[in-house]
Amino acid sequence: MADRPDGEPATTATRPPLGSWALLYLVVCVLALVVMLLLYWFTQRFNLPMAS
Amino acid sequence: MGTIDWLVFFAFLAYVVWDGVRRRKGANDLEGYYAGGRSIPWWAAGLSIMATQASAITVIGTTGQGHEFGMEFVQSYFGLPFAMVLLCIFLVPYYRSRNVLTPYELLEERFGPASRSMASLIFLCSRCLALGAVIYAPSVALSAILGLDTAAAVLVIGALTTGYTMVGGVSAVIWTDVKQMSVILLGLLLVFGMLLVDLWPQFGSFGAMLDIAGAADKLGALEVVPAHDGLWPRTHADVAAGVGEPSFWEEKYNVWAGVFGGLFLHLSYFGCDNSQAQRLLTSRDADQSKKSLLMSAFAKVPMQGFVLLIGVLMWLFYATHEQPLLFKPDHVAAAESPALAGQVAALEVEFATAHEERKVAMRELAALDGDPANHADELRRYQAAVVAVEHVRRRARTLVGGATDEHGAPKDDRDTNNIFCRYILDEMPPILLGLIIAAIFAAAMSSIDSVLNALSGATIIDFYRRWLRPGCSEREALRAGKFVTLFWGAIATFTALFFAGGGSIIEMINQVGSWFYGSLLGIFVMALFVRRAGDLAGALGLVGGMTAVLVVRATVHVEFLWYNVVGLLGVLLVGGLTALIAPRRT
Repeated sequence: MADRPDGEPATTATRPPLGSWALLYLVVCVLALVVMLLLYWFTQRFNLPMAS
Repeated sequence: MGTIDWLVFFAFLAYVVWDGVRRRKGANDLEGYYAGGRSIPWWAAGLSIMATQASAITVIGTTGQGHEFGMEFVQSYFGLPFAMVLLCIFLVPYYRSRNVLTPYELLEERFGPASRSMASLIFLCSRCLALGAVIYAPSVALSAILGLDTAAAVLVIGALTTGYTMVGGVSAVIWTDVKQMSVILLGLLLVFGMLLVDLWPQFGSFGAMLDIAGAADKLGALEVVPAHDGLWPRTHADVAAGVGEPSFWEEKYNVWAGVFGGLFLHLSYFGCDNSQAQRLLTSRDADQSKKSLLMSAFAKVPMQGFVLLIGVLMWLFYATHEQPLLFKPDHVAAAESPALAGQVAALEVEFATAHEERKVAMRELAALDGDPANHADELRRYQAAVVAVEHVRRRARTLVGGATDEHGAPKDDRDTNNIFCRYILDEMPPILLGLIIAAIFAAAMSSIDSVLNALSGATIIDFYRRWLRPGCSEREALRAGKFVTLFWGAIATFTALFFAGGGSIIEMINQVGSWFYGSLLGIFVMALFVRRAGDLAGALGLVGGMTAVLVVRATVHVEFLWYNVVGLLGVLLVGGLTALIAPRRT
């Protein structure tokens, strides 16, 4: 495949991060869930609701 | 503010304007002006997406939100990473399948001219309404800090941003956004560092700070169990009369509203709002556009949590130091009026006592070993002291604020957006103060410039060149585009001059967006998945979506994140039914 005008090989521009888009999407979703779990732990560990 | 701060501030302003104006070389045709010649690197487009969303409201309003309500606001961003993935799968390939300059162009090809024009009009209305607030919020802050009149600050922000955006087009927007985002992050890190330097010696560890802030209910970052589980929403009349139990839909922030309501808000904002969707058209190809979107997917929730945490630490700072009773300059001025001075003085005394009691109770709780939850008596005393301080502040704001509810009774005029400014003005050392003010300015400009260019793009591409001057040359359209950028800049500045918003502006912006966004998302969902739908179904669907939101808003008490779902369902229901009755002609 021919290089693009900016000198970057076309193959690197079209190669998805982590090898496949599906895997990257999975990583994003899993990380989002991990962040939510961390925030859940954070809330449970530190937050004390006001006594009504 | 000293000379050195002014120098830092002016140096930054001059640099941004110069950087924006020098991009004019690439903006000599419509594709250059509105799509950056499709040559913007993904990381620059990604930073621009983040900078556009991280307006001055993020810096000022979100820290204030953290100070007043703790971390709960972070939940409204939980749907964002999932929204980005869905946009990458469905919308980005669709947008990049044609060389369009606004996403609404695709709607004409798929449905017809009515659907395109209506969707573009909805975008213009929603953004125009919000843009005044986006200029107003930092202007208030800067006027307080710089000792300027608010109108002067509005004019400076509006004129500078309109100037470089008009000349340089979307390339100017994106490349200035990159620098502005860096300054925003640097400014936030500096404030975080300053707070830590102050608080660490008092508490001994970061964990101890979190224990004490958490004991005041400031660290509720994820609420799984909703406070109310009834699914039938109450009417506004019921709410006013105090009849019936609050429903699930009335709770503003919990994980369910954040993941599902937030999902639809962010799908629509990043996918269908031209101020963000335009970024997806500026990169070389669909893969680059996907990468720029996923950048926010990784960074946004942690960043928003970090900004809220700064607000919480600010609360801790004021709980351990002298705290002003009133943060808003208007309130302070009103409190000095002869009519109110006596009552305010009494409240000041009450506040000083409550503040001291909170400080003592906090010290007692912090001195105890282990989890504050294990010390029930001290915890109860501390929480009661926290509530007492907030109670006096609320009474003072209500007294001097002059705000009234729908029945004419005085109501709380919140000062959420003034807390950050007061903190930096009182506590930041020279040079850093100049930098932080530059960061607020950067945040304001990075959002305004994107919206201005997007408003101009939609006006020229979807209306001027489509309806008014269909055969006009590229050169004429570009000239008109620059003029329209100036026009929208003037409108936004004018709106900001007469804006009188109180409360949390970040919430208000999201609320205004939520009235429109569900419908915008609905029309694109129909374009992708409802093959039978034609122009009539698209146009009626949009009307149905907007009407559904209006009806729900006027009748029942439902929190704003759910409006996105209501609008989407309204479009799909009305548009789907129309498509069944009058299918698209092929």
